[in-house]
Amino acid sequence: MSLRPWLALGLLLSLAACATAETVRDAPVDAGVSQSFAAPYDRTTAATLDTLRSLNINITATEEKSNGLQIQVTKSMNLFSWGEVGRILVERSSQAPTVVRVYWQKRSVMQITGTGQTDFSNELFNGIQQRISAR
Amino acid sequence: MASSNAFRRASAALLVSLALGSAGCSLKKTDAPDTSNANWRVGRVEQASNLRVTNGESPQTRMMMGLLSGPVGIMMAAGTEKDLGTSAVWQYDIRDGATVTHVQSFSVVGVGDCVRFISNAPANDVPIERLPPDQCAGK
Repeated sequence: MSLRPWLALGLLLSLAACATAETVRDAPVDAGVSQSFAAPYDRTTAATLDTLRSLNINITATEEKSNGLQIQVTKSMNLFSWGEVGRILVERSSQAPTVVRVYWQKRSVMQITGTGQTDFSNELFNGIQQRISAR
Repeated sequence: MASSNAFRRASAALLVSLALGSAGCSLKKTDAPDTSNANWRVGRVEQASNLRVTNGESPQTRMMMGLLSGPVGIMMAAGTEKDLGTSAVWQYDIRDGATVTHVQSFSVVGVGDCVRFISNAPANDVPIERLPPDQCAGK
């Protein structure tokens, strides 16, 4: 029996491997990149959501857990990208500083275009810092 | 023949809509609301619930693009989450004195929390920030 069809199927499956809202949501809590902000938890969560509202993404769910606020986001598909999915965790703290952690994935492993984790997190962290500094 | 033409027309329409939507490549929104000079009000949360709303992302467009892209695209489209195109948003009733305001927001606060919110924000996502309880004395 030839191995070729199985190899082709394996290759197809690996090329089609993709990130979804579920895989990003269920990733380890320390996945991604983080930045610390000199503001209390409630102020940082408000600044984070306000920054996300200014970005071209969809917030798909927000949930407050014992470790902090978890925000699920997606970026829609367009001509150059299958889209991206992300998770933002604002870590609960009793006082400043507050850590914001971003885990962001392109939906397709083959995709070289679209927004990467560094671009997205830089944009988000800059926006949070601006809003915190403005008050 | 007719179905082939219909498929071609649908494909062309899809590509045009995706090309027009490629402004979505940019990460920054051009029409983002400015909340810096907004009309903030302070109140106490009386009721909270969660509901699902559409968010503009289309599972049908993704499936069509997958079909046009071949086997890998079809598998990519099929592997997308089932609730693509919807968001879970919170609804709150916030009391400010005698006035109760019904708002929809992605901010997470609890019943009884003292909050500040923008009364004139876009109705689908009102910014809400939790405040220390003493700022709601008498509310």
